Amino acid sequence: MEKNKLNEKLFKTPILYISPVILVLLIFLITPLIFIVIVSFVEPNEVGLWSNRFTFNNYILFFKNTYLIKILIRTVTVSLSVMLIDLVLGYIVAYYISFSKSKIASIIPAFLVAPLFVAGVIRAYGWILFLSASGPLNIFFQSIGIIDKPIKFLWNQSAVIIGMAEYFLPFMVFPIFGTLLNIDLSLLEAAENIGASATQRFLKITLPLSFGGVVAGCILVFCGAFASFVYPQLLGGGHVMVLGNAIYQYFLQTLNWPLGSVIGLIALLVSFFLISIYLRLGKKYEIS
Amino acid sequence: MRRLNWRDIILGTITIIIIFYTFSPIFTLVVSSFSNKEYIVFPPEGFSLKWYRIAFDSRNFKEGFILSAEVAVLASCISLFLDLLASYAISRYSFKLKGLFGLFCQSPSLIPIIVIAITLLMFFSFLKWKISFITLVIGHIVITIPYCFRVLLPVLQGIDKSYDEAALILGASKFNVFRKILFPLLKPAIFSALLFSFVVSFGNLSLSLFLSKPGTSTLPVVLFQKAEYGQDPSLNAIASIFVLFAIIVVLVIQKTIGIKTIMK
Repeated sequence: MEKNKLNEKLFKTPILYISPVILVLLIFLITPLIFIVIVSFVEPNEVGLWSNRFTFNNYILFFKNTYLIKILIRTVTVSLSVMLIDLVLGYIVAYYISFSKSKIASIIPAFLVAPLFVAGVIRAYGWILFLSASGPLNIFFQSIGIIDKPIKFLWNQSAVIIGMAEYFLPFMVFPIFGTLLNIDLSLLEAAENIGASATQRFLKITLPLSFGGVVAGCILVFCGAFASFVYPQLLGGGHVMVLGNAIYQYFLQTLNWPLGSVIGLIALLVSFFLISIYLRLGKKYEIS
Repeated sequence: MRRLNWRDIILGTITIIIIFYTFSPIFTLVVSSFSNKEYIVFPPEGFSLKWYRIAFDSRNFKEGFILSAEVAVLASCISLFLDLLASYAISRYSFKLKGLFGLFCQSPSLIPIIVIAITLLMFFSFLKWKISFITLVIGHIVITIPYCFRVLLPVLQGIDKSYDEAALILGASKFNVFRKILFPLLKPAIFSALLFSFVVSFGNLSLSLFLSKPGTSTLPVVLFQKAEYGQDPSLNAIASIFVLFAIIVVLVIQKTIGIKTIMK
């Protein structure tokens, strides 16, 4: 008798517990998303926000507009660059901290995590200082005589890429680190015993087994960079337009919300698409 | 084992260089915040705390800081509450679509923050809700929900259900089960959840940019607007304080959770 009541208590659907979150997210996340889809089909008012007229115009405008298409391409280029840089750097760091037994390797994770607690705005500003004409990088190069005049590192795409690569590095390191940790060391020992060289061991065992982490990291970094706003805005000085800035401009400056919604939707769809790949692969490789 | 040395040295050196790269902006910020001059000079000339004084005196920074803190604390607590309920449900009940629910709780992190920002802006505008403190907090709740959830759920799942069952059989109410058994075991997780949410909310720019009442800005927005205008050494001072805070947080995490919850 008691067991039955217990079972009832334990196995009913706990509506009371799950509804608050569901309500909050339904109202303030899902509904607004439906909104952005609707608004993207609406004609902008003279005042800018929106009118009641339904139109495909915004989409046509977007795809015909070479300026906006260029922005899209630039966003993809920048995100890919950031992803590739972080892939190389991130794999090295992840490999080192997971396989090395030195003291240094054990404190590196702290150095990777610490910047995450410093707001993005601040780190971006730090890059502005670092790369500026009178900043440490230029002063250093000048002092060792490589250059005579300061190089203009800032206010261009490279600065944005350099900055974002730094920002997203931990996002690449951690998934790879996770998969590398799970590699059974005896596999590598066995391979060594039958005569495989270090390179062979890496290419045939370590790399394939860490592939899940690599993909996860790449997707995280690409998605993050793709929808980025702060770094492109600050490090690009207004000269580098990516999707993030475009959205900012259309929503807060020119107030063309429908067109801005189109851009936002594209950013959203790309992220969704990539994240769904990530989730499917995650199930396959059992990462998160 | 002897082989490792060669590899270690090369990889280690490269890693250290990479870490220098990651830290160069932070390093620049901190070092130049102590300079005497109005402009940024390297190596820094003079030593002075005057920029810290100026930063602390600035009304903009103070108001920004207070607003950011209020929003962050409020949003974190509400998220924590929502996620406590949600993760309790997932860990102690079996119901249909449990997996989907778990995914749903993490959905805000799947959507670019700037998209969340614009959708909320349009939503509030449609409802004719004035952009205010409340709309800001709502936005921050949405983005912090996944963080609390990701911290709380594994911990709750790790607490054996038989503790609950034993207490329930012995006659304890559900609330007491939570109060006397789960809550004490959850304290570190609750602390981390609040910490992460606070950091995410406090440092957030995109959302606050779109959802702050004009005239009142969160600290990141103030910093952003100043940074757009050019160099300002008082920014460095604020930045250094952030860095100090980050270092303290990391040290605390080192002592408590140890190898930080790298599963993010």
